[in-house]
Amino acid sequence: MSLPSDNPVLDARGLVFPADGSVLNQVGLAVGEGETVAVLGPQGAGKSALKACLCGETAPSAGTVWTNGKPFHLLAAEQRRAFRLRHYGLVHQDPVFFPELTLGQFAALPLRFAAVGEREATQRALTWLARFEIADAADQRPGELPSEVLRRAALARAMVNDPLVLFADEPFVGLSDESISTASRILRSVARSHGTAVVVFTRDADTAARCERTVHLVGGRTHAEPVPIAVVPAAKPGDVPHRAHATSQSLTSPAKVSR
Amino acid sequence: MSGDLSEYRLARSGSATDGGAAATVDTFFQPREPAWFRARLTLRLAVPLDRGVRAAAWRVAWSAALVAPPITVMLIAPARRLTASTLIGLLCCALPGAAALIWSASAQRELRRSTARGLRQAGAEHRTAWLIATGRLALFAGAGALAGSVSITLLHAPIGDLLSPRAPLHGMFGAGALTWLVAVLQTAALAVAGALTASSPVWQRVDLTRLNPLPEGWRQGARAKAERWLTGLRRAR
Repeated sequence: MSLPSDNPVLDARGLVFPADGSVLNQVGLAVGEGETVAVLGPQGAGKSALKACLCGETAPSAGTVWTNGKPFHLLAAEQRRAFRLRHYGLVHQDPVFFPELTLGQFAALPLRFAAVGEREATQRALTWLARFEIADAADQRPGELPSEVLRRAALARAMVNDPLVLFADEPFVGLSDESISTASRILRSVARSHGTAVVVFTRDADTAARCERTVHLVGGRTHAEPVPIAVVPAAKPGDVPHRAHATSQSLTSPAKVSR
Repeated sequence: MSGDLSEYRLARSGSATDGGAAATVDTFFQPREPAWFRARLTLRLAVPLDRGVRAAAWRVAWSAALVAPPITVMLIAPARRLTASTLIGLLCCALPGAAALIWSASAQRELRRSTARGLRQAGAEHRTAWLIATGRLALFAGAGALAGSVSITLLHAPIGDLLSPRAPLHGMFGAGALTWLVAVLQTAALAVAGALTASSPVWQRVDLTRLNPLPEGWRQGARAKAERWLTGLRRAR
């Protein structure tokens, strides 16, 4: 297991959600540029809540989220959405495809919503589909394509705005081992070459093993090492802040990271 | 190569020279969604390619067309001529279409939700996602209602001739063209509103089982009475 980056692109500290800490209690996570980190935990461990807090879909009750040295947690809901559109990539567990749109149009949607011109957005979408080795399917509709291609298309769409951080919720679920190997290889290579921090939320240990580092999320708290569920004490509000991995920065003044 | 986003990455990393990183990033990505793109996407998603989805959408349109004529007549009727019995009659005429509209539109609820979710996943605002997702339902319900209303508008003259001058609806069919046009538009708006309400989570909360017109235990009581009566009849024989 490699050590966490000292210069994280994404740096979350002391996240509590909801206010009583029943789902997340003093959770911390730091991910460096080009690093691929898996957040591994059973169902109900708080992975979805952590993802929602990190990507700004939900405001945590307490804690801070710094992205590229910017205080993401201080932004208003609308600003968070705009920031997410520009700087984050999201791969959902159940991505919705539209039968009316081709894969190229589907991958270009985030750019089109961000007011990027049609030609440029399409070109970038095609570039990313090619990077995920599915350029041939760009003109096809989702109904004609296998789930492996659709999963890769979802990854390509998440990367199309060249994000700082990519959040992937069970990105390989329902795929064969061979498909998972290919997709995860491409994802790691793309993350490294583009300096994108990748956070994979999964309950599958094999998927987590394909990432550079694994953080275990059990009982609403993160652990650097695997913890048997029975041993984990119930999270209580006001507990000592616990981070999955200590960095050299102090809790009160996170280092600003420039890229 | 423009597809590499190198310009954007340089800007974001602070290496851009023209006007500083923030300025370049802000000009690269505009936070507001362009209205024309929303309109185009709404139209593109409004006409379903999937056969099953298309059939469901047509059901909404037919239902709206069925419910529209009585509503149009109701709207065009002068208040003084619209007696209670006429109103009840028109409502009874609208009932089958209304039931069909509620049934077909509520079947679209999941599809509408999933479309909105998909758009939000792609980065659309909540409001934009909702508007685009409702576009299909609104289009089919509106088109159906327009077809129904226009048909009664075109046929109102011959129908008016057939009616007796003493018939309650006779006066309504003599209304002017502008009144008919307003009524047609109002009908379409009502049909769209009805379809959207029926496909909304609000309607999902309506517990139709509470609308049971028979009092609690009525069936059991009636059955017991019938059994007693039958038993008495057998004994009498």
